[in-house]
Amino acid sequence: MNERLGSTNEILNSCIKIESIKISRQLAIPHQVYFCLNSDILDQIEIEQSHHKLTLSSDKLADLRYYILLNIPLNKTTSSLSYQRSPITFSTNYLFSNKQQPTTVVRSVINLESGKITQQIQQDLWQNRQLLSKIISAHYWLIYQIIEQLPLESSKIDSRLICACSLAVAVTTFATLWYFFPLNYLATVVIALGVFFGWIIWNKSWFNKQLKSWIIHHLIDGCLAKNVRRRKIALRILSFMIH
Amino acid sequence: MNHNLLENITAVEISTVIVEEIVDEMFIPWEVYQAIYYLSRSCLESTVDCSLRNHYLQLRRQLELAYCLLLVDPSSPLYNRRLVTEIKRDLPILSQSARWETIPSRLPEPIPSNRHQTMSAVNKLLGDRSFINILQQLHQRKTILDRRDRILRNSNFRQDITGTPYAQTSLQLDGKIINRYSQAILERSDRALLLQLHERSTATGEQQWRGLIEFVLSLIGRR
Repeated sequence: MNERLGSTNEILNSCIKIESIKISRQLAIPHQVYFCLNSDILDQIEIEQSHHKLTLSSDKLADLRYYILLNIPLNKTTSSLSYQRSPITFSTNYLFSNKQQPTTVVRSVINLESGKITQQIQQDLWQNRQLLSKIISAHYWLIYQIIEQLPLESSKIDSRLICACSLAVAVTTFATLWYFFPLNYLATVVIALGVFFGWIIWNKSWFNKQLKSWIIHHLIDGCLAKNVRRRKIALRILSFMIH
Repeated sequence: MNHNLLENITAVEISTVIVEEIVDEMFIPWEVYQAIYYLSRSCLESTVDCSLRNHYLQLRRQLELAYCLLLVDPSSPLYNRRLVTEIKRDLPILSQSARWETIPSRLPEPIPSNRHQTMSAVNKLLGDRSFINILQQLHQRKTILDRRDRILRNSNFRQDITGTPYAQTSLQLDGKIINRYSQAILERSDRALLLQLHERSTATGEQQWRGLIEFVLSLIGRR
């Protein structure tokens, strides 16, 4: 049973494609997401829809998060970016049994800059009512599965681990100071309080904000955007930082 | 990093459209700019249906108004301090729909008529993100007007709904929900199905929007 679910999951993951365009010799950026469907995959989706959820592979999820992040209208002006932001696009390409090439039959275009969403349906599909319903359901279900998994979730263990590590650094700093410099009672208390409040500030606000800003900035258009591995690491660190 | 995300969004608008073919949209700013720039009463007389002429002219007025507003906006790269007083005097006329044509245009010509002039003014304008956003919206309205013009001049197209949104739902921040429908669907036998399809588009569109915003909020840690 689990094996069957695993293979269906793999098949559905493989039908989600991310089309990229090269913007420089080294860098290709995702341009749109499309689903490659045929009648067999449609049947599988129909079964999965009511019973199971699709689990995206970590590489695919990193790529999808990166794609959305690139097109979020954050403060950075487009003129300073090496690419042009575009609406987020999900298309379904369906391979009709009588055709050799897949046809784009449904497209959802979401413009985060203007708040406009357009759902396009190809005319031939509109004429085929039975297929229309199946394809539309599959298209919306796949988008929902993606969107549901996009938000960065911090596991409580991760957050606690980060917290514990930074506390350990703070305690070690204090212990080192105490060991090497013979201090009187008042100075000890002042330094202990200083280190403690320093740890809180470091952990909670300024450092956190700066690091997050730096990561997002470099994920959009910098050293962390270069390949999937770097993007995955950066997104993982970002999810660590959500308390 | 400051986040100005959603700053200008007061509504989420979901449209459903049936298209002949789904293709990647080509938006060439200069092409759209010149098509709207050259709209005038005299050129429209011979080319479009008389009931739509004023609608087309509104596009030209809005283009002019958008440019003037950027010229007087100190935060815009197009800000021009020397023109502020002059433009502020003209703004009330430009925001009316009647007398605006009497004001000489400040927009740079798409193709400079003087051979000593360069394209730099147009290129600078078309490099401005705010102006491009307005141009894109005007382009969408022009596409709808072009289609309506085709329908008015050819009765075969009367029930045709392909190419432009047949239904649109706007979910506003103040809680209002506005639905707009193309007149053509009222005469069609399949209108119940079309409306059902749009209803589904709206429900999933809203879900898609909420999901994406949740992702953005998870990134900037404000959930």
